[in-house]
Amino acid sequence: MPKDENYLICRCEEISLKEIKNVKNNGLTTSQEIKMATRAGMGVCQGRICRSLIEQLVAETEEGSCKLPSKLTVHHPVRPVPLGMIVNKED
Amino acid sequence: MDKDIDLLTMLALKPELETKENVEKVKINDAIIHNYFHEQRSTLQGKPHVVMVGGGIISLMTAFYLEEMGFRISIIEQKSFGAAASGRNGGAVMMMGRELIELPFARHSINLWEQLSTKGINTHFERKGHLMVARNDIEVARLTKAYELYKAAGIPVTLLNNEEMKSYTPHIGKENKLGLFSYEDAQSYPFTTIQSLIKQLKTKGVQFYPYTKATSFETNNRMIEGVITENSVIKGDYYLISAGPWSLELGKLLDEHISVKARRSQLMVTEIVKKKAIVPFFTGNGFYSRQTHVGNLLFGGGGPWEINGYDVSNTSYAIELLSNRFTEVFPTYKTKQLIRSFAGTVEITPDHVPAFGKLLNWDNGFVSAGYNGHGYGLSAVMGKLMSLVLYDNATDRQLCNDIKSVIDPLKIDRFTELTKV
Repeated sequence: MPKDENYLICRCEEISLKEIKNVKNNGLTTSQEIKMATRAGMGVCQGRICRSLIEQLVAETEEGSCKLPSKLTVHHPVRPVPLGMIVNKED
Repeated sequence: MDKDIDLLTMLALKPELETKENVEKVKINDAIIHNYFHEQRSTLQGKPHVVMVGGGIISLMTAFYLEEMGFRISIIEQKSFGAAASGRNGGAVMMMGRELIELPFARHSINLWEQLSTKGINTHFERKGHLMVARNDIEVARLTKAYELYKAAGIPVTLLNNEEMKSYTPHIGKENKLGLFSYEDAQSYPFTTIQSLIKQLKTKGVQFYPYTKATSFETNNRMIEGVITENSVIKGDYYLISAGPWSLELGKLLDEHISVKARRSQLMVTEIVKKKAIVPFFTGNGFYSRQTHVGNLLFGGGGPWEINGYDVSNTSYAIELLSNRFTEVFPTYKTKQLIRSFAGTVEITPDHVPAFGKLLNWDNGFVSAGYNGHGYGLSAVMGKLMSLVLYDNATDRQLCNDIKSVIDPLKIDRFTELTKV
């Protein structure tokens, strides 16, 4: 895990290690809670890069947090697609 | 586009069922709530302790106003705070579209939300209005009647043609014939609101119990004496069940019938697009939409076609249905990337009226739930009302008949009759 506090954990939403540490210090313990507080993992790549980093950060200090079942959920679509590819093609 | 189908699904108002008396009642009840909020109340003595079960926006807002009134508060949540529908919704804080009975509550709630920003809560609240569109003759007729009723009830609304709608939604398609615009409606951002409420409440000494499941209650005669959890018993002077659809199960533990059922509602998120694509909150054609403060377009909706229960996975049926409906209204957004979908759980009551007020079997037990998908927006007014009801109870003040006439229709005693088979 990087030591530089300004290291970008989520590149899409530009969320640094420092911002994630801040919300952890505010009492948030799960990756889902960290996502809701910082938007990390909510950008165009949908956590493909930062998911594992966030989950490592959650597990590294909080004793017992591994017991909590909340992990970042995976949502459709797995990869961004234009709406035109989803809708009816008739028109 | 089907010419005969009414897809004004976000227009809960049924113009044919409303009366002149109902229109007058909007103004009367608005004034009653105003007066109740502004009654003189002296400082509360002894810091009575309120224990809430449920950690969503209703509990957090109620805690916010209870703390202002001088109560001590504990909140028990079986998972994360604000992680269900409270954190997964469209962020609407609005009154247009609602039935007349809900308007006075909704209007006060918008005003309270606006004040929250000045009290240090990071709501991203913006009063950008609400545009509802009609796409065929049936919808035009119904929307026009709704306009007349809202106007008569004192809500600032106006009708817009397609060209006029473009100043609010520049890419709206030509097929959208008529728009009803409400000036006072607003929107906010659930994630920051919830996190910032939690942060502020913690600094004020509110006790949070995350990942704590209430398994039963300690009781004695007509009094609740504690919430039993897996690890401990949490004792208070008052108990509030405000757990959204989970209130049904909690009610059973107390032999109370809180008739709330869970239904899934799904939302879609596009990539970030240029600002001012959809300025106000937008509804019509069977979906609702807004552009977030970051710039993503959000669109979603539910309905009887959705499944009941707590499943918050997404279905390809809903992704296709909602994307179709959205791009029918905004054809040029077919080029925008859909980056994510998500789902929340709305709570439905049999008559679409909330469950609010005293429990039936317990003198110190209360409920605030069953907001039928409007709970996020209504949380401020219902939180403040509950804080005053509890204050009045704690200080032996009688509720005057006026305010009783406004909140008694929300009592849960009606459910026994409503759910009789």
